Amino acid sequence: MNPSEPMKPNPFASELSALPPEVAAELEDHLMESLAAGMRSGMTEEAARHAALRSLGLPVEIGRECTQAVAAGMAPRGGWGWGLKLVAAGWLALEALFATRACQASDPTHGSIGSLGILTCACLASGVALRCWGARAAWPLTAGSWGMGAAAVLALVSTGLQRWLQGCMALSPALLAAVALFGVISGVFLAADRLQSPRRAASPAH
Amino acid sequence: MKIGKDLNAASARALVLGLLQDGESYGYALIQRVKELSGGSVEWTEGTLYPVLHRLEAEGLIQARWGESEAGRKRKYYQLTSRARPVMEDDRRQWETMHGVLSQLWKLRHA
Repeated sequence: MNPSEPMKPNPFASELSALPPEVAAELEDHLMESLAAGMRSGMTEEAARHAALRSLGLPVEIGRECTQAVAAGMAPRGGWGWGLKLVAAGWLALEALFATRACQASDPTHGSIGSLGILTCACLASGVALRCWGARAAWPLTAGSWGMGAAAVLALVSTGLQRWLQGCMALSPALLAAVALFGVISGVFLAADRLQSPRRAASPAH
Repeated sequence: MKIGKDLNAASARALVLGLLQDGESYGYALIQRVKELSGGSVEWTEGTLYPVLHRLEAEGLIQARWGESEAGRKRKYYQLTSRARPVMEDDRRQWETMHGVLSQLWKLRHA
């Protein structure tokens, strides 16, 4: 341990109290290093404390900038990869086809399935739009589309057991289920892409 | 001669990534290293470094771990990730291009 470092309780506690623990711990280390350097250069502890705070700037402001910087860093950057574009385009086209086919059928149940498809489609479109604009709320929406897709699969599996569905629709229930499954997979793909954002260091243990 | 605020801000990413090429480090040490390398010309307002570090971490260009200082305090150490290499190379090319253009312009003026 460096003997010139002050061993008192954190002399910057009041300045750092309003910050998130991770930022506070990091800035505390910085300020204590700066304080120790000031004292080594002959300053009194109080003078070194003031000098350290002056050099650093306002901790609250730095904390706010760190939060904004993280939000900016987490926002999607650049264009989509070809895989993502393919999944989104294919999924939208197939969902549209699915909804059209289902709505053409005479039984009102088919209309419900069609509505479900449209809802799934709208949910993904919202997620896609939010992704493009960098909103952090995008992934819950893509997860929502995943859930909707799963509901479509369940609906199709249950209706697929009824023979009349095959008579009313050109697409077989198995194919429709595959289409909906594609929706689920692409929803998972989008959500996973979002969740695979770089991990940040865990907060220091207190 | 002091480097202006705008140029400091523009070069912050390249500087941080460049400094971390030598191995992991932490905020205070990075600031001291920049001062040392620039002979005091580059003076970051110390607090401006941390948002840069947090942003680079969020972008996945650097990663952090919590360790301990010699005095037993918690300390956040940063190091480059594999994603940083191509970004650094791209930064280097951009800075070299800009340097080349400006050098030619200033040579023409003084010719």
